[in-house]
Amino acid sequence: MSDVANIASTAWHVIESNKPSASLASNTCNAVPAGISDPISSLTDAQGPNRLTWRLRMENAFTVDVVDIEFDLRWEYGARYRGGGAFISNCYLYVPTCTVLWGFDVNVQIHVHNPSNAGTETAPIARLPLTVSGSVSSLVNTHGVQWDFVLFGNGTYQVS
Amino acid sequence: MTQHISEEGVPLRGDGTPFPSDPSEWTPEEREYLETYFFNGELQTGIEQEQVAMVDDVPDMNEHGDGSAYA
Repeated sequence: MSDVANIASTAWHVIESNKPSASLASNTCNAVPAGISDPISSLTDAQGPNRLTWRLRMENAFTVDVVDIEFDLRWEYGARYRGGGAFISNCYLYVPTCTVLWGFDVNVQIHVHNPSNAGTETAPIARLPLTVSGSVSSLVNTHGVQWDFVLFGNGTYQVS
Repeated sequence: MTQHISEEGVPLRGDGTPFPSDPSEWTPEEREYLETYFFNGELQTGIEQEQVAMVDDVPDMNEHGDGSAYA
């Protein structure tokens, strides 16, 4: 068993029409052993969560924050199957702060890409790529935003 | 010309009334002013904080260890 699967959500809204989406509360993703029944219950020793926070912020010439959104990405890592490997038993996103002023429209989504094994066949390390993307539109222009993350079952991460 | 922003962050015209949400109701001067001062800004998107720990050694899975019901 060295295949890794996400058996939860693959995409959900994060910011909808300037507000945190109700989808945030009910959607998670993971990177767990593939091809077995009830993989979540089969995992042990999960650790964390690890946590990354970032902001989407725009200050205008009046020195007013017209957009100020904080994102908080968490993942539980190091979960073992049959005493080994390092899987991601749970990954979720919070939006603790969300301020969008008049004239701006912000929409953000998260897409979970197919997980894979960054370790060996006998000691798998889950690799879970995520893309958080969207747009900041005003009455006069639009900016695209995107963050690409790769979370690993051993707790590490990459961001681009 | 805009002189103020309301407490809610809405730019106000010189007479103290809020700008309409429909840009077609702005004069060319008002549009230029809003584009320059209200809507213009640089997006900041960087990671602010990390709380990350990691597993030093990832052990091999036991062929018949925990979860052997699925073997």
